[in-house]
Amino acid sequence: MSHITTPATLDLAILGQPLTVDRIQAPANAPEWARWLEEIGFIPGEQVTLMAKGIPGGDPLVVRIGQSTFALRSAEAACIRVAPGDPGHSVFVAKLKGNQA
Amino acid sequence: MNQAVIHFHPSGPLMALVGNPNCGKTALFNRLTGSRQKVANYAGVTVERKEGRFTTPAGKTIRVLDLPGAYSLYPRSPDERVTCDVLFGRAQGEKRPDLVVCVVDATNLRRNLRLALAVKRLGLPCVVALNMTDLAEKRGLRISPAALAAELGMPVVSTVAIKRDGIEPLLALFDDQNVWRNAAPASHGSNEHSEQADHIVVRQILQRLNLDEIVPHTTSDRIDRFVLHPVVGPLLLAAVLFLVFQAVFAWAEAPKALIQATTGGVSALAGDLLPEGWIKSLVVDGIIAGAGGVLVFLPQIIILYFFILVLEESGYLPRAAFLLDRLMGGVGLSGRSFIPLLSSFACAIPGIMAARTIANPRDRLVTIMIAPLMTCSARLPVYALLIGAFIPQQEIWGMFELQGLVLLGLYVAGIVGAMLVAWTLKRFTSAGRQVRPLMMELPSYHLPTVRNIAIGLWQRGTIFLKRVGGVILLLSILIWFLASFPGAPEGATGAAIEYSFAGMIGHALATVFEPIGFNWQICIALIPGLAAREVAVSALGTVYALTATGGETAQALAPLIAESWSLATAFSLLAWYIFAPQCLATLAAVKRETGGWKMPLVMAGYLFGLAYLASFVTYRVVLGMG
Repeated sequence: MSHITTPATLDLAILGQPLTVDRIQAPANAPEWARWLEEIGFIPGEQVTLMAKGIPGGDPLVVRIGQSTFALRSAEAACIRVAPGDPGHSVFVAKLKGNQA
Repeated sequence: MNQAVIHFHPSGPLMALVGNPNCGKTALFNRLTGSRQKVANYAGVTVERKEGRFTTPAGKTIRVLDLPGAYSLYPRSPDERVTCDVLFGRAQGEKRPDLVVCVVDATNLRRNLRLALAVKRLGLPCVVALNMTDLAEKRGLRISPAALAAELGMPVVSTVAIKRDGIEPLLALFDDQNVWRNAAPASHGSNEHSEQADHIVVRQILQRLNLDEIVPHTTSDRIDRFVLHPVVGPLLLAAVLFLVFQAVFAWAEAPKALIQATTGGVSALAGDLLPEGWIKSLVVDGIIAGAGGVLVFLPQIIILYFFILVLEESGYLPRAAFLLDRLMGGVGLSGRSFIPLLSSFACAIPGIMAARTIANPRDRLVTIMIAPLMTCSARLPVYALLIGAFIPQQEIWGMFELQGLVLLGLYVAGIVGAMLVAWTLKRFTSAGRQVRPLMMELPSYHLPTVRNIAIGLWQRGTIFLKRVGGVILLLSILIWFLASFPGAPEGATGAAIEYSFAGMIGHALATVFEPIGFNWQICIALIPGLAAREVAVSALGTVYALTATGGETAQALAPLIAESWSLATAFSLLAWYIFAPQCLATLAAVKRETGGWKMPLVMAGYLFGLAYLASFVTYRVVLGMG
């Protein structure tokens, strides 16, 4: 999966792409989002994957964070800066993608 | 539900259940207390307060509070604030718990244990109930309660709340006196602890217990591939929504008819037994008719809540909200508002009660406020009468029936009105402009349990009868009084109702309603019509002194009003019924759900204003067109 570039934020991720949370950057008009996202598990280092997109318009998003699944709107997912996922994680995600294909 | 015992014995140890949303906390509460629960609101807020009691194996009676689910001890909603306030001992009128049971989802220790660490820092005696251990084992997670207890420094027992014998270790724990005494020292400034620090502690614990691996949710993910599929998902959702709507609309008809027939039978019996006079009228037309008017809502409430509970417990409801989020987002609501609004097409009362499933208080209030604009089934008899009398039966463009098109137009006008109100509130209020995040958990799928659904239905039914039914009954009796007193004077020529208080009010209102084309007969009929919208039809029959009863009233009325009302008056009345707060039961339900008379008064005011405006415009336009 080396050909897939790592997006800057979670809302730009490709479905099934293994990522980790890098840091949370809340918008200026909603600074409390940083804490709220942390509370539900978006903590630096956690494994995160984009699972599905809503229709129409690809919003909101379904996200697997750690062991939990959350629905986030794009604007919320855009607060989550991401880094490449770890290899062990990608095994499970590859399996998941295989299932989806 | 056994309320009295709780009420008269408020002493005794108090235990509180705390946990993340979807950790199976309410199932555990139901398993502990069975039907011995009392549902009310917390003082000053519209957050549901659930208290129950149970007896330990050694015979000790314990009161238990099912605190609203929370992800942390930093409140972000009124529900979470209650949980924090109770735990910190600063909730108005609430005792600080003697023991906290932290319910954690064994399949998601990674997130759930952070709350357990935060609760431990409160300095209250605390135990951990490792719930859903059966599911964890199915996923290959073997968790040793003893090892976890050693790591956390507090007692840990495994529980399976959905199994009859699944909570025995927890029950036994309550008989251990040490459990009630051993509290970790309160760490002041515990709020300084960051989620990140707790997360590192949790991960270290999980690593030592060899539980740090992320286990995929195979079954749930497989179901989600259909439920969240871009094509299959919306189709499945449409099918589910159609089923719910169909059930609330159609399945409720038989029990409703049965309740109406029973009410009629009881009325006839009481009518035969009682001597002629005002007491007979009070019993038959006031009390029995009023009580029947309350009970008639029950089938729809029970059927709607049955579906909502099944969908919520199974995990589908949040997914439906996800799929509908974009649709409702345009007017500033979330996907959670859809089902309450959909069921309001059958009746606003179950819809308003279902708004409880909306977590955000602002979205919930807006949903409640616009629910009466959805065309409920009680408007249909009024629409049928007016359309039948004034709209000719003709086809237009060779394919559409004009009468049907007018009816469709009335439905659309209600929906457009509701969307405009919601949009206006989004655009022009500070709370509406504020961006409210979705951040909604999609829990793993579970099979709903009969027991939890039965308890939930019982609670909804009793809440409606006790808290809403009483108000509806009182208002019905008040309306009966207004329409019956004083009686007609000797030698009166008009209908008796004309001489009653309702008649006087109607005559007085005729000046107010003259600009929108209502004659005094309509104005009088609107007053008994407050009991329920369809009552206006029989009330018109009474005003016009028709002898026909029941379904024949409309048949006899149609030619009469077609002759004596102008087309503009008829259209004006149709417009009135789209918006007007012509249902006191709805206002009673809003009072219960918002915890006071303020919101029902605001609702009545704005709906009255909208209705008057719509009728005025309609009347003038139709008059102008000649």
